[in-house]
This record gives sequence, C-alpha cells and structure tokens, in this order.
Amino acid sequence: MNERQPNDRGTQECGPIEDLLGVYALDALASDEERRSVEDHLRDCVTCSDEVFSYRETVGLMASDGGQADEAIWEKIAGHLELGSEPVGQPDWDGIFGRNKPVVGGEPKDNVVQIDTASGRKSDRRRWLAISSAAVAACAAVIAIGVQSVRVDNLNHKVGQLEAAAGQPGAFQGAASAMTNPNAKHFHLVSMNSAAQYMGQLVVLPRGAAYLVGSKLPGLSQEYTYQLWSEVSGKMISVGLLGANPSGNSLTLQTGSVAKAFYVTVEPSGGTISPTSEPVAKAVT
Amino acid sequence: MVSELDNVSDANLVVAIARCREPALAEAYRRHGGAVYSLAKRVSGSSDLAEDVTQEVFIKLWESPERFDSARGTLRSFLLSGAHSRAVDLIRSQSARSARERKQAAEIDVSAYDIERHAWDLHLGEQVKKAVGTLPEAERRAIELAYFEGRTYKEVAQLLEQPEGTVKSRIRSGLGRLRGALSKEGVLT
Repeated sequence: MNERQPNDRGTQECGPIEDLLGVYALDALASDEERRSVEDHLRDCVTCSDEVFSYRETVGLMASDGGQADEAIWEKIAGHLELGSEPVGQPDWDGIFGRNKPVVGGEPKDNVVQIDTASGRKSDRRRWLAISSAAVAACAAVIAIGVQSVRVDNLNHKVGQLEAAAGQPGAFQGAASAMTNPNAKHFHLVSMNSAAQYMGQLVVLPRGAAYLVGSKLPGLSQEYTYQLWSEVSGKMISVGLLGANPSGNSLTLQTGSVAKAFYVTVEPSGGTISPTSEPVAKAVT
Repeated sequence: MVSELDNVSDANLVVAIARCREPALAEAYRRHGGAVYSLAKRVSGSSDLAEDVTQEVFIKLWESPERFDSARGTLRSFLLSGAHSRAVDLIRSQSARSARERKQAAEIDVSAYDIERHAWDLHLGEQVKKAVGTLPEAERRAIELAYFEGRTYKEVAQLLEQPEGTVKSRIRSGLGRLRGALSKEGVLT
C-alpha cells in the first residue's frame, strides 16, 4: 500500500487543490481564503496531506544549515517556560523519562497518587495556588483537584499517544496524527478464531481518513492480499487493499461515518468486488 | 549545554517534552535551534525577528508537543515549518517588508546560489546540493523566491514575469523532483 491508490483520495475533488499543494507547503499562498480551502481539503484527503508533508520535509533539508544554536536565545526560552521545580541548567537526568512522577506543586509527595506531568508547569501551579488561597481554600481545593485531574488525564492521554507514535515504524503516514485526534474512532481488529487475538487497530477520523496501526496480521504469499471491508446496512463494502504484509496502511472510507464494523478477508492479489472468503479478522467499536 | 540526551531519538525527546522535562526541550533546541534561527533570519532578514521566531517555535513545542507527528516527518522539518510560517507572517507586515526588501536588493546578485549555500551540513550537504542541481533553473528560482524570500506565488509570478499557473506548477513539480532526487540519494525515505 505504499503506492498511491485511487481510494487514498478523499471525497472532494483534488484537482484544483493539487495545484496549490506546493505553494501551500512553502507558505506562499496569496490569500487566507486559499489557505482555508487547502486546509479544508487536507483534512479530508490523506494523499494530498501526505504530499504536503513530504514537500515540507524536502524544503526542510534545503533550509537546514546546521548552524550552532545560540545559547543566549535558549536562556530567553527557558525564562518563558516558567518552570519552578527544576532550575534551568540543573536537570534531573535520571528522571527525564520517568513516568507518573508523584509531584504536586513541584514538591514530591510520597503519599500522593498519580498526578504527574501537568503539575510541572508553573502556570498550572499558579492557578492551583490562587484557587486554594484564603477563605475558599478547602472548597476550592476540592474543585481544583477535579479540574487538575482532568487536565492531567488529558495530558497523560496525549503523552501516551505520542509515545505510541514514537514507537511505530516510520514507514506509515498520518497514523500518529489520527491517534492524537480526540474525534477519532478506534476499532480493535481481532481474529475470527476462538482465540480472538488482537490483530491491530483501525483508527478512523470523522471525515473518512483511516489508518491501520500496529498490524499483527501474518504475512501472505504475493498471490494474495488482505482486503478491508466495512459493513453498512448489512452489506459488505470494500474499503481497500491492505497488501500481503499490512503495515501502516492509510485508507479513505467513503462510508466512514456510518460503518459500525469492519472485516478483513484474504483475497487474490488484485482484490475482489465482494468477499470470496470468510473474514479472518473483525473490528467493532 | 546538554549532552546526556545525545542518543535519544527526536520522537522520544518530544515524549519527554510532553512530560514537561525541560532538559528534553533544551536538547531539541541544541539539535535544531541553529537551523530554526538560520531559516528565520534568512526569510525575515532580521536578527531580532529571527530571535523572536525561534523563541516562539520552541515555546510552542513546549506548550503543544502533541502537534508534532513523528510519523509524518522529522522534528527538524516540523520546527522549520513553524519557523518559516511565522517568519513569513512577520515579513508580510508592511513595516518589516520595506526594510527586508532594501536588504534583499543588495543581495540579489548572489541569491541564485542561496539554495546551495543553505545545504544542510557537510555530511548531507553534498547530496542535497546534487538534488538541487537536478532542478531546471526556472523551478529552482521559483522555489527559492517563495521559500527563502517569503514571496507569494503571485509575487513570484510578477518577479519572474510568468503566469501564476505556471509558477504554481513549477513549484510543485520542482518540489516533487527534489523529493525524488533526495529519495534516490537515500536522504528521504
């Protein structure tokens, strides 16, 4: 699936937008209206979006001159970070990649559970301190704990997604972005046998872009391909071919918003109009 | 500055940044701050603006690390893209533009060689230079004016006295040609 497939394109017409992809990647569009129209399209179209990313990667190479970073600018950046728990230049190296560091207000508390990353930001802590002061302290503290917990949960979620994306092979495009999209639907592929083994995850964005992430589907001989189907109103509709060795496939679902279940079958290498074999894997919400 | 994180991948650096680990941001800055500043200065023509842009880019990475998608490009290209976009916004304000244009007028004789001069570092520079060398002059000039000088395609069309559609096509085909050449060299995957 590394080659472009017709169904990689979104539901919108790409033609007029394609002409603008290069200049968009270079921030050279002539108006905000043009920029909005391109960005609207990119939200729908995986292939055009990938094209823009590839152009930016390309010009990024041209622009990289490897000059040494200016430490004076870093000092200004560090000043903006407003970190309180770790002075600039005195990092806790051992804890850089530690998880769930039990910190509240910058001070370790052995008896406090869970709160970690967000509490490191001074701005959050300032809000926390402001809320917990004076006569409303007790009541406000309870409310603030709730708000803070939600914030921390959200941040933990993002960290987890970034971490998962960082661990993925770099060959596929867009999956990590989809995984961090709060509006994405996540379908877990499981084998159809009695073991119901986890076979990967299908991440579907609201407007149809979909990604197969972390596929564990076993490799096939080149005469065959995995084919993904969506079930809509009892009918099986082909979503696309996953290839003999699925890895980071990107697809566009014409029926993404209404599909409730997906099936994977093994088909002849060119794919088929309708399934010719029993599904080997299934995904439901 | 920092050195203990030398072997940590950019993607994992961003994970650490999301966990509010300032040393990870410092390391990201150490790796890419020079390139970000250099591009911002090249586009804006101003050391002060470039410094502002550089600060903004890294503070934004600190505040919204989830915007970086390691599957869709390198951290450097992500940061450079942000820096370029911000620098272009700044220079399109009228006051900054006039000063920049005065500066560029003095540089016009050497600008045809700017892409080569911006080749990455000695290790990859030769490959990038080779890829740039495959571009027809018209494509290379259109890309250079749009990217390094922050021109809109309409402005590029006026400067090169070409139809706007031709400029759009040349920029896209040139970028595609560059991407292909760099992929062939193994610089891009």
